[in-house]
Amino acid sequence: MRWLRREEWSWWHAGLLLGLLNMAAFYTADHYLAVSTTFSRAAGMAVGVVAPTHVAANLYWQKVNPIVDWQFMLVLGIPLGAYLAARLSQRAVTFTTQLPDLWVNRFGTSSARRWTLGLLGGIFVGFGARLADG
Amino acid sequence: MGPLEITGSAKLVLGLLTGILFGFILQKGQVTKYQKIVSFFRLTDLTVLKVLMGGIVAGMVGVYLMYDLGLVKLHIKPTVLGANILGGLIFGVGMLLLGF
Repeated sequence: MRWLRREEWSWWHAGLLLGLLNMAAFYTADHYLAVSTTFSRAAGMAVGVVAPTHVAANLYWQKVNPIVDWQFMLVLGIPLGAYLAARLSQRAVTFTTQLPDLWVNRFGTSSARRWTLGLLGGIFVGFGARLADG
Repeated sequence: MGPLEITGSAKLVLGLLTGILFGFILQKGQVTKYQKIVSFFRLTDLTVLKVLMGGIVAGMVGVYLMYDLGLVKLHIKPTVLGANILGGLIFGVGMLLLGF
């Protein structure tokens, strides 16, 4: 149990467990560990709120239905697991809006710039992940 | 043989549990930390690389073993080098712009 309370695991503990978890996912759910399709599905749900006929007619969303599936639940589980891991190694987990020093040194403290780069970075991450089919 | 056939809400619960374990391991492996991610890109701390490569290698060997035993199906995606490389580069830039 002390191992579960440790602040960090060695890289090969974490790596080995990720490999085992992927094996379990293949066996129990016929899925591999991946997250990005969930964001495409969630986009379909969001668009569906304002334009359901558009979503229904969209060829991509006809193939990748905007529904909650195994992977969608996986994505919801990730922050829960990460919180649990952090909580086990400290008395309380604090949430902060404080920026990392490295980021501030490069981009400054302007909150407009923070929002812009945050949004831009998110678009890049989403677009890149889907383009690379990863 | 082949993977288990779990369906309906049991499969959703399974997904949530798998996700909780996934997040737990990523957090304990330090992969969720901005400092570690930036240090990987600057090549000053390769923890992120080691954890993820360790996971990939262990998973590759393990999944292939299970495949030979007839326990799992493979999900092979096409290799499209241009899209894979360009997508990876854009993803990396995005990750560092984000700041978390």
